[in-house]
Amino acid sequence: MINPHLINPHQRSNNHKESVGQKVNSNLLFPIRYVEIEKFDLKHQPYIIRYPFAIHGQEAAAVWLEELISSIRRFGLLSPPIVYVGKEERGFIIHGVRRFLACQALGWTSLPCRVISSDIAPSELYQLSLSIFLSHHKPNVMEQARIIQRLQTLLPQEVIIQEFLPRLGLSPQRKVLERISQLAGLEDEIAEHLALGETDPQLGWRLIKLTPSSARLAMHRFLRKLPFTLSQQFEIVEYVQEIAHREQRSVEDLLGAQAVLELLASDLDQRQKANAVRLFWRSRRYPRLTALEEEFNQQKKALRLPEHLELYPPHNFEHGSYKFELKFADLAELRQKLEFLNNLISCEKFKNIIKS
Amino acid sequence: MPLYLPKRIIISPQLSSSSPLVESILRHAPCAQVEYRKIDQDCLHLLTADDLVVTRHQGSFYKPCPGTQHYLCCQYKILHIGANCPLSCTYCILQAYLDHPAMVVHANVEEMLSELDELFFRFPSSFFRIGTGELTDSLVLDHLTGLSTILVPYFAAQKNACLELKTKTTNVGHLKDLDHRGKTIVAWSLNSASVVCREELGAPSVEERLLAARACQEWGYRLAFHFDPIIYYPGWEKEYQETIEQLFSTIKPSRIAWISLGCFRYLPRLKPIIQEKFHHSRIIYEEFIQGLDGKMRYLEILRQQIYANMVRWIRQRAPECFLYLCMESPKVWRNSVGFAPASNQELQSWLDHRGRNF
Repeated sequence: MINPHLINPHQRSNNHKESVGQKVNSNLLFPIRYVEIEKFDLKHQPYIIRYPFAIHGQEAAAVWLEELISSIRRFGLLSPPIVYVGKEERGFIIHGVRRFLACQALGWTSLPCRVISSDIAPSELYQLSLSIFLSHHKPNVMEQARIIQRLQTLLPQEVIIQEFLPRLGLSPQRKVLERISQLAGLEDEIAEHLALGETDPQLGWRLIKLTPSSARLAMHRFLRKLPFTLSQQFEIVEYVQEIAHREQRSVEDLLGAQAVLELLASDLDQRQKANAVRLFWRSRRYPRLTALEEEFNQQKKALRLPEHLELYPPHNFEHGSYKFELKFADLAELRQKLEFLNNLISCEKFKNIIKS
Repeated sequence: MPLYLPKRIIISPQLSSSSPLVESILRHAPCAQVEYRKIDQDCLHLLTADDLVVTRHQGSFYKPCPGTQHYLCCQYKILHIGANCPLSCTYCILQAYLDHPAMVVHANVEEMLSELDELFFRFPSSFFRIGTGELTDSLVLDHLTGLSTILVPYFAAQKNACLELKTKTTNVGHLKDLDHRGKTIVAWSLNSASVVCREELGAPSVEERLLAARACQEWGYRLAFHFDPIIYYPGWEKEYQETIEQLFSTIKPSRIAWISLGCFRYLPRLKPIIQEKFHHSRIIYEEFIQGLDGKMRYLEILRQQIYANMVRWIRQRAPECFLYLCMESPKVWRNSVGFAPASNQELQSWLDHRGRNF
């Protein structure tokens, strides 16, 4: 009998033909058996909670996979994955998808698993999978979203709110459920970045409102080109989305604008580029306001205000008050600035600013 | 446009069964399901636009227009006859003010009139310019309630008050044979053809509104028109000019008590509501800034340009017509109308004068 807690891969590879389907330890609730990897369609695994469970072509994915492969090579498969094998001999992974993938990468054609083979309803299987997962992991935001989305097909909403949201580390409120579950509608490309913490969930909620899907993906790719702050990301999403509505153009079309491409290719450093891109979209969204601001700044520049004397226009150029901000270190500096202000009142350039 | 007919009428048990409004509503909506029960405020959101709630208004019927700080207000007074509107205008502020879709009618009209009696008696030297079109369209339920047949004769008998019925509908049938004595002004909200088509989804066309206005003119009523909200879009000039042309081709300027102009403005919380409910609407994607009252407005320079054009086009056709701006600054008044009231009180006095002596 093989010790289920320490399965030597060399021993397994020598014996695996004989051991496929062989019961390893019948005393366990879910006995260990060898199962063939080809029985598992990895594109259809409804009980895997971990997300993303495989990221192809990404360095992060390669790191954990290499770690696991090296561990299994050295110590064997310490803990067999838990799987469900249904009536048609189709296999579903309940827990241990990474170990499963590592064994597959090692070239194994079968591996020892704890096999659930009795008749269990899909909702029970999912809850079992969820229970095991939550006992090992703190779910990331996409896992939370996908779990809620799945539970919504299985259980009444009130049960999800009261029983499951706290288990997911969330506040038991309907609005929390509604908000988190929206993220499950994001495309995998965006969702994976959210799950890995590379894209902020707050941005996810803004992106979900962008339609169609191609617009979301284009926007997400665009925002990953530069180190935008979160508030810059929010602004750009809003500006581009609203310009697209106003001008009846697609988000993809707008994001490919020549002026933007030129900014991206400019000699500015990354943070300067990010700010320049934000300002570009702001000026496209608010062309009149931007023109007023530019005109005001030029007029103000012509006044040659001394250092530490700042002039502000009325808020949004709506009727209201202009504002001066004056800083001084001593009485002499204050006197000097007040004299400047006194002279400014009769300055034509200043009068023109106030008149306009 | 078809007239609004509720599928269900919910009548408050607090109302007398002989209430003239209740009787009228039941007579004119014979197919509706009728329920007699109290509706709590916090249950209103469970109702739909097909529900008509007939209730007893508990508070004061008479309120000053909330107006707004920083902008000139005409100090219109509101008679609170009900709430909500079935016309589905995309820009409607009621979507942000009210948290339910049901139509509400205040049927305790005797109490409403008693309150007005007391007010007019207590302030005999004041003039009261009162409208019912703040939280609902003044005439949209008139075919059911017949409220105009009570209010118009009531105001006809007042010495120090006039009534403005503001509507987008053609629902003027009840006004025909009423003895109004010039104390009721029937007012229409007007807009460009494109705005009516894209944004005023359940409302009659400009032509239909003006034909209803002409009928009222023939019945001797004074009229008013409100270009509010004026919505900026490429090509707005031509279409608003066409509406102004239609107006003066149909209505005698001498019968117009006043015309108001107000550019589209909205509470920030209305934006997500419009985005959610009216995907096709692009009005919120123009260039807005937050005004001094917190509402989103077109930039002041754009508003001035819009008003200056509107004033010019109206004056070309009706030089004597009394025009005012709704919720605008003295600066915008001066730069578009050519002058500005010194205060809310002065603007109020101008309009009261028109209401009293027209």
